Amino acid sequence: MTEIVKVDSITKRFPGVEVLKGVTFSLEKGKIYGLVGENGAGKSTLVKILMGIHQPDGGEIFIGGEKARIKEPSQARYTYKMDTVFQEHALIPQLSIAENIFLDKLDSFYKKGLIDHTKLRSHAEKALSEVGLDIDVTLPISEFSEGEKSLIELSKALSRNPEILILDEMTAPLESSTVNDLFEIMRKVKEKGKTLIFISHRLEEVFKVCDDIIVLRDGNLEGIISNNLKEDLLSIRKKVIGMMTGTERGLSFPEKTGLKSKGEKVLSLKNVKNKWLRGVSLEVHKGEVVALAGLRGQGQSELLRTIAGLLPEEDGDIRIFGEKLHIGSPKEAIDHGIFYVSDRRDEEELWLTHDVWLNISVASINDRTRLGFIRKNKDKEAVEKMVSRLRIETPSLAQIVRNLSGGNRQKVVLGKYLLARPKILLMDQPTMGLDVGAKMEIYRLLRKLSDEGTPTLAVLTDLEEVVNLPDRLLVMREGEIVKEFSKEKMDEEELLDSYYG
Amino acid sequence: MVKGIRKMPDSRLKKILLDWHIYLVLAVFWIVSCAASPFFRTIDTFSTILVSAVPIALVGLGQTFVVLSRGFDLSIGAVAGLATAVASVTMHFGIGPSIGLIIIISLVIGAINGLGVSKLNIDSFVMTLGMMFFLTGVNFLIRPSPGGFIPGTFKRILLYHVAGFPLVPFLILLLAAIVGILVLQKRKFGREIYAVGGAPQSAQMSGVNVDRTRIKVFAVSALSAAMAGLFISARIGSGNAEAGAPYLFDSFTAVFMGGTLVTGGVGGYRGTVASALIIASIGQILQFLGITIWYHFIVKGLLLAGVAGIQLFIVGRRRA
Amino acid sequence: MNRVGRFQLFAVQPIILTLALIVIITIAGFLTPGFLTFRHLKMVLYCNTMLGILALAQTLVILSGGIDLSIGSTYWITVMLGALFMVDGNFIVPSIVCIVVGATIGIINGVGVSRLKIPHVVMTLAMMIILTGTLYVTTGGGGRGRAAPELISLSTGRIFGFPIISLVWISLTVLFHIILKMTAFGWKVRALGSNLSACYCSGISIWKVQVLVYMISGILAALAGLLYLGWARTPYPTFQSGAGVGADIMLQSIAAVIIGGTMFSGGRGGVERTFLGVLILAVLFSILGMAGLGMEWQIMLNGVIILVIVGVHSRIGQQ
Repeated sequence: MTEIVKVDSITKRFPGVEVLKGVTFSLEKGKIYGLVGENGAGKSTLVKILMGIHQPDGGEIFIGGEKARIKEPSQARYTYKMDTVFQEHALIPQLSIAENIFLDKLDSFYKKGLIDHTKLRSHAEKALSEVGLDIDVTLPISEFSEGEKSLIELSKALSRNPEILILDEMTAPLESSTVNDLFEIMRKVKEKGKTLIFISHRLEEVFKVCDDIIVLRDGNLEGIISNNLKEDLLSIRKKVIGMMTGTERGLSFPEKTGLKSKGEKVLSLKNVKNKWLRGVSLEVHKGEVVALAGLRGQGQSELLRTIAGLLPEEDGDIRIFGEKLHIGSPKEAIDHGIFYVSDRRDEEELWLTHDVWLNISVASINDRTRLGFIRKNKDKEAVEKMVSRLRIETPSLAQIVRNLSGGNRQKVVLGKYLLARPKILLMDQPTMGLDVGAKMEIYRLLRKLSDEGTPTLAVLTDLEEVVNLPDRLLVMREGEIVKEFSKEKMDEEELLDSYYG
Repeated sequence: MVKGIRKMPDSRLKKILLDWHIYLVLAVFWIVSCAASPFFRTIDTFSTILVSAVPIALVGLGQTFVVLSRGFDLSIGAVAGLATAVASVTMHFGIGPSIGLIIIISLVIGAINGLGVSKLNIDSFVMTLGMMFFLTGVNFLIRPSPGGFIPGTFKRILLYHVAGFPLVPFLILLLAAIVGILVLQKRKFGREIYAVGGAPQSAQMSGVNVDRTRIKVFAVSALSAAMAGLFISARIGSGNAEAGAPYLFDSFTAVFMGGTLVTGGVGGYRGTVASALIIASIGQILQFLGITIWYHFIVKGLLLAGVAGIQLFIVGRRRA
Repeated sequence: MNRVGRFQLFAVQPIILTLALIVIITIAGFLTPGFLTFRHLKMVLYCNTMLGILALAQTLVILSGGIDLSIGSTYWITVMLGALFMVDGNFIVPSIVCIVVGATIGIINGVGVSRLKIPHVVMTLAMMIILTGTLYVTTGGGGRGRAAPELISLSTGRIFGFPIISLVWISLTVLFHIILKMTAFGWKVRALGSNLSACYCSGISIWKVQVLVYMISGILAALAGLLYLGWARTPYPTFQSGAGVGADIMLQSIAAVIIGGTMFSGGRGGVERTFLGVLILAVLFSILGMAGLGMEWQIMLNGVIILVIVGVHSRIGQQ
């Protein structure tokens, strides 16, 4: 067993917060390590330091026994043979996949001074087959799903043959079957004597594939747990969660009150059709939390976006409180009380360069003006109430949203919409990227809203959430709803079955 | 793999249209012009158009590179003027050394622009604006009024005609087109330009040296502007501090009409060349139709707006 | 550089600029006698009012995520049109017509950008080219007519020794500062400049804001044109040969906005910063003039100054 990476007393501060407080551990060759911790625990920062994106304020890194000074990603990749597949992909939509995979080595494909596209293509196809993708490499990146893009990123990294491979929340956009394929790839890489670091919020995955689990909490190393089969899974899991959160608890969900009582019909769809939907019919009543489930990319997001006015409906009937609507834009949807919360928070929901106050207030600001002028006191009060109601952690209303963590950003987005008094919430993956604590707060909030008269229709992908949160579950496949579940206790197997048909 | 819902692959057709639609516009323009005026149908007319198009295509080359990388180069007019000024003052020492000097100067200017934009993080609009002001002043110092000496040999070579056909200008245009298109499509530098313009952070993460690419892009832009300036000096036979000024907005017109999007990452030089020809043709047809030359501004402006509309139709109206 | 630090520096920028301005003026006062006199400083303010108003308009447009390349040509068209219509001594009606023309140009820009989805740069560039052509065609390079006497007295008049038009500029700056900070419209403008998609998804009516912004820009450009006409009495635009009428003042308006610290993206900045930007440019230019340097040197150093100031901004922002 040889040590390949040693991280020694690494500290890192950002203004106002010490993100890493002297983290020390070492990694051995030929092992898969899990790296877990809540949001803000320091996992991302640690990875970015390893990749040379950030510089540590204190401590040393040793790669292969030698002190390493990693100033930028290409150094990490080529000098230290360390690569990362990040959650946000670094693919260029304007270039072809083949060009994306070999972007920094395009000059090695020169024939008579010009890029030999045939050679490029065949190398790209080979790299993609290593990750199980059989796609047309001349198509632009925009043609592919988030999961496929993730895999393309992986093939990019693998093509450089790294000694140390880090996967940062790679499984988030993948189907369950693809995740298993990914684990196979990871094991093959491990067999070649390389080291992998696997970061995920999904503990089941971590337990399935990792040899050892590194737990971070609040910038400190809580411990490294060996994932051997001697202890049973449940106790290991409890231990890990305990270390992550500082308490011994799992995710808890509020009671499914919508099963017993549901109120009047708020939203109803009859046979809605367009480019992505093949005739969808559903209903959402007051008091309900309804989920759209199924494999990724089966039309769930598209359904929400169609109701919200972001995508055109070509045929069918959409009614709110019985009134038939033709929604051509988000504004029209909002005017009728239909509020869509996108999964692409940064691009479609937040004004990152502005403060919390503006982010929460501007969308509904007309409600608090007189003759065009903002009624400052009324506005401030309303925003402050929202901040405390949602428990948004921010030093002040003037804090720029870009500086907030993912969980708080999501709360700001919710705050924005709640201030505008929605009649129904359409949420696209509301807890994506949030830590355990934040997730539970969102669950409680959605349930409370629903009890108070504002139901939610949400796209959920996390299996645990899908099983435990909603009153009713609509499984989608290829643009239509194939099965509906409505049970107090959901069966995971039955559910997964319906995903595949 | 489980089948998912995928968007229609009509993006290929869109891509082809986006690349070539401007040639359709060019063809229509020429056909209509030939029909509208007998004077237009002569070899002489097309010869003049070709020659007029050369400087536009040259400044358009550099500007295409810059806009693709998500920037603006406002200094190209001043650089072209500088080239004419320097040429008019140094060419009597020798054409070769004079050209060499101009090349070096333009590369330095371009590098400075690039450094300001990349290392100092100055917005390219502002950086090249400042450079433009600076160079305009310098131009007037070197060449307070039009004049100077441009050797006859130089003029003759650059404007060499064969049986009424402008051979050398045509070759220059062809060379520019080949270089521009090939570099952008088939050289690492060209692909890096698209990466930097399309998704700069992703490019950075993928190992592209964004700063170095930007510096090279602005250097290319200044160099092509200088080449345009040399050609202009051959045409007007003298040095003129303001000779390059009209070409600034023409370069943008050519680039945008040619299908390169202002947001960067999309487009190419193919369209710019066609647009240069269109712009060069406008003056001619208006002259033959007896319309005052000033109208060509209006036509240019309307054409620019119109073609932008066509492009948006092809690309599909972006939401919001 | 960490982002929190950069935002703090951004907030403090106007203070830095004001200090720099005071320092520059003081030094100039020592080097060139007569600079520090109230009279001279008033003159600096006065001569740059037109640029100031245009830069104010440009600030609004840039804050909303756009840019107005046609602002200089709108300015000059108003000058020409105003003179033409005022030839018989009328004042009110021609002035209103000019403002309406400015507003219309702005509305067309706004509609092109918001409804036809033409990129800001392309739309206003096309507009500038069209207006340039229209100007040439209708005037053939020389202006006709003259300003009405009321306009002249407005432009050259003073209240308590202070030039009226400078007061107009200052009041407009205050007005728009209030609008940006305290009205729903102002907030929406800044939101638009920060993230257009978020505005769309959150139900903010984008096209209304954009059309209004460009309309205001057109009106302000027309207003500046009228004030200039009153000062110059007869229209004699300095046609930039072939580059486009008003291109020089348009570029300077953008330079002033950038020097003041308002960014092209992010919807952050303000009209008070641009005010400082104009003053800095004006003072520096004035120093050059007093130092007796020829026009070329002035233009040249204008460029260097822009670069130096902006470079310093960025350097501070990077530490």
